[in-house]
Amino acid sequence: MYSLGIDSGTQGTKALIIEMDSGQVIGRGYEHHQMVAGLKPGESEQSPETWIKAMEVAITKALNSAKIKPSEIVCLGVSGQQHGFVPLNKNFCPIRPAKLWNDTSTVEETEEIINALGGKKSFIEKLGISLAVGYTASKILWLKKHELRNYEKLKLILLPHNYLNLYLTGQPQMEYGDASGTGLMDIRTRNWQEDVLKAIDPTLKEKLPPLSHPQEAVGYVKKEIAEKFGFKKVLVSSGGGDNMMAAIGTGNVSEGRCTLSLGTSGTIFSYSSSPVIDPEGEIAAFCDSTGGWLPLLCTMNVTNTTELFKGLFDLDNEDLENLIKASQPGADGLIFLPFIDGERVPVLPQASAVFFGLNRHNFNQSNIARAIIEGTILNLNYGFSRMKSLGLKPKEIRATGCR
Amino acid sequence: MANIFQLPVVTLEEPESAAYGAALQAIWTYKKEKGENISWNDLVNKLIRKSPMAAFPDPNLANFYRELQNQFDSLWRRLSLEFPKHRQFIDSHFFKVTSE
Repeated sequence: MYSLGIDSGTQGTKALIIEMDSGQVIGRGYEHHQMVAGLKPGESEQSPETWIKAMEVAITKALNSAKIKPSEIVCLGVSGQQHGFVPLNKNFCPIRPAKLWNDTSTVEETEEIINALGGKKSFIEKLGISLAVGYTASKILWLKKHELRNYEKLKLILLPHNYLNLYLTGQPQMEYGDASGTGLMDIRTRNWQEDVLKAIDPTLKEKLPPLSHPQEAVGYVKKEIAEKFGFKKVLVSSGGGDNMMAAIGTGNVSEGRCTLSLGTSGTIFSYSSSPVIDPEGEIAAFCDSTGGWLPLLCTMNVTNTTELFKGLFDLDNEDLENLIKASQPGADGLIFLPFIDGERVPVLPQASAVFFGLNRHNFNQSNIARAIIEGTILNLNYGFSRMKSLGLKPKEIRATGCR
Repeated sequence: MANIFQLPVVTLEEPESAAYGAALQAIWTYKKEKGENISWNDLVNKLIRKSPMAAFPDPNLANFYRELQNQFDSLWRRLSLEFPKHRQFIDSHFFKVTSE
């Protein structure tokens, strides 16, 4: 028997088929996604239909590479990009493209919601989590303020992975993990928070799907979709946001384990059996997708400076490795503050990057390369220390690829 | 990296952690539907394989990196008021910086 794992990301969709007793991956498929083109700066949107098509292509590719009977697949789970706002009409069809996690056009709406709840501190007291610009809440208010005619058609709000689950099973629901990234749910009680709903729209609750425990299945793949692939009876688990699913996929389901994911941004998250609330709001107080919690740190500066540095001196990854090997820990006293794109944690949105401590002795490529790498890790470690000060006791870090 | 975090850093055989996690969650849910109550820990420990690539902290460097971390944190704290001033300087004389 086999299980199918789907990861619908921002760049594309991946499908993995794994053998259930051994965990062995026996089939893979990938299909690229398009972004909506021609938007204003800060906007980032995708058509939910793109995800459906890409998922179907990725599944077909994975089945072809696995060389098994499709009927041997008995269950599947869907991971999706967090925070995206999928607005659906009364027929559960998308009204417009989804605004994604990295859409920053809703700064005003974010501030409006926070102010309606009495400011940042009060927002955290009421929901257990602070509201970031990327979260779903401000995207809903944005639609109401900017596209009233679309908003009037809005009957159901889903997140990207919920939309794929709906397509597969016909069931609209939202599990706690991804719901914790909406900015609409009290992450402690795991109920919709009335004050924030009212701040957006007094009737918002009617547009939200039922909240469910991630241990509950969504349902079975509908007959007409199962037939497309030759599936028989395939159970669909709750799925979840990509970070929550990556936590499970790295075995981060008990206290002491942390996942470190390095890409353009860097994230560290760790399972907790109880909510971990940061009164400063630097650490995101998410729920996980096994039934626990998943405090998460996200910094904005990881591979960005190394890419610029490589471009400047025309270096490849091997050159970079060799430069770093040629230097000593601490880069002879050269320190790099990596804030090329500003920073979220620590909260320094207007910061820029800084080389500090250059002298005649340490002014060379090797030290600069090492200082850049060390600076990005020191920056992550500042946030990691904050996580520890909130009570986490990490024992092991599990590093995972660039996402 | 292990030296800065002062923790072991391990990597896993399957790098597509989100897709792999989705498949694992499906297995857990399937087993539960069949009446088999398996713990999350048992499931992931049985199925997830570590890759040989791992790094362990050198205890001799622990104090050194702690000192470096303090320098690093002290620098950005002291510069935190200078950054907005400098951003304004760039915005008014050179180009508009766009970031979050």
